[in-house]
Amino acid sequence: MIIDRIFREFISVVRENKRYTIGLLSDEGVVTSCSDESQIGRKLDLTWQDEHNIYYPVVVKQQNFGYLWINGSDENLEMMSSLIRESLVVRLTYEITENNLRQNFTQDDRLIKLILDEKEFDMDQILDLAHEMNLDRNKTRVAILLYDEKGFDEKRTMKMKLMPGGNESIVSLLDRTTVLCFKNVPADLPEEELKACVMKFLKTMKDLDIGGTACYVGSLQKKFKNYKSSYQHCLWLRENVPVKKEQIVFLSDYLYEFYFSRVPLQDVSNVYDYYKDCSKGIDIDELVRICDSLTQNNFNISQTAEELFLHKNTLVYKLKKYEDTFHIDIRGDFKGRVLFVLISSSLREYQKRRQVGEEL
Amino acid sequence: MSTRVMLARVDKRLLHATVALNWNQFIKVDYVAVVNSNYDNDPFIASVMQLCLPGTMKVKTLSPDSFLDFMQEGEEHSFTSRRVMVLFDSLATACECVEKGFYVKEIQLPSPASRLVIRTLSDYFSEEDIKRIRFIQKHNIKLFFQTSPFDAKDYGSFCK
Repeated sequence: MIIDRIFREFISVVRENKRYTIGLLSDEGVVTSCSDESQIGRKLDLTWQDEHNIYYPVVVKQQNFGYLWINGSDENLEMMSSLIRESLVVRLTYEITENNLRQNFTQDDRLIKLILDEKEFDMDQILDLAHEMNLDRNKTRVAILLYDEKGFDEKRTMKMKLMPGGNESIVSLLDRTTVLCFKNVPADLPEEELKACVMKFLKTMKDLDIGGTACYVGSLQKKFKNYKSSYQHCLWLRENVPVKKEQIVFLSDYLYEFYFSRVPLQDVSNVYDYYKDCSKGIDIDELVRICDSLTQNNFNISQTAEELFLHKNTLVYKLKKYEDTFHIDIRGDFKGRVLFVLISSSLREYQKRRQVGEEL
Repeated sequence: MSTRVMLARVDKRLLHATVALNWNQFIKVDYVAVVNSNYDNDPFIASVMQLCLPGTMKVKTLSPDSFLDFMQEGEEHSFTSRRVMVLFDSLATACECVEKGFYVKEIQLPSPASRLVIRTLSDYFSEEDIKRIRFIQKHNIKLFFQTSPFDAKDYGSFCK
């Protein structure tokens, strides 16, 4: 038991001072461990406290460790007893917290491994473990992926479990440079408040020297089976969004780009390549530039023309040309605009592939 | 590299409270210097204090003078780097150390237990302590309230 190991250390210190004897008593008052071995097994009356014998109950984190007995004939007995007692309680608190942290961290690792398991996703196992960890399965959580090129160490990461609400977060060191945390957040928060909540959490982590060089925040989830998606959103952000040092990136700011990246552009090219090939002289780079600017300006022709330093009529002329080439209505029809953005994306891909020398 | 003060704190409850509040979890240190004139040179008390923490963190119970010697000792052994958490038992002790040449960027004090808003320093500190606070501030050392690692640092109360 933890108390036996720690109390042995206390005994060896107290033995250096002949004025005091310390012992650990059971609830019944039987000496189980003592700096004076001849006292072991003796039964003491816990209700009989005098100027030579002081007893303190030792209860730490709701665990009962019996009684601490301090005996001495010194005038400082009371002060010394109090110091020894406080040191014992603090040390036990320290060791129990460390143990719990280590244990929780291992359980968090196991849970995250189960959640991310591609082949053998087992919901029953996940729920059993979550129950064992006293995790509230109905809490709203969001995946936060922290990346630090210098690397994290396990001790540093374990601190996250000590943060307020840390027992409801699930944290795991995925590899040397990456920490994944499913952070609990209040349900039904407006977008901006949610961001503020996550940023406050990350700032506290940074103050405590746990911040990474980049941080990606996925989607909100309420069901364990969807946590993996939130993690995958973080991975998508990491692969597709360039970040500055210590920048925090939220999926909610990149939903348009995220969904667009999911469209199979090959299907778009399969239809529109024919028209592109028929029309000679379409400047692909220019089309992509115009499309990007139109998207940013909500398809407002005047603003787009101004941004691109074009005369409005020149822009209209170019758009008409695209409309004729691809048989779509960019200026008047919502569906036509969506198709134009898709065509632009497929042509952007085409240009990229051509630039790296792929034969098309 | 020599001695780096990772945290300097004034807390009359000294090591016990500081450890109990988990500061040791967040501040990786090699030494905890408990600066307190009462316990200096009592090896037994020092050993009992050391029992609060596993042996990897050494606890030193020092008077202001021996604390300054300890810091100086770090300067001399310039090949080694050591990280220290400093705990003063009172503002008077912290002030004495500053007067004798101790410098650190900032010193932490636990927030008032009542959590009342401090409008002026005299709401919480005695006149002597206010003089000590001003003396420490004059030496370019900031003071702030913070109880646990997750609380925000409150520098504002000391500017009033």
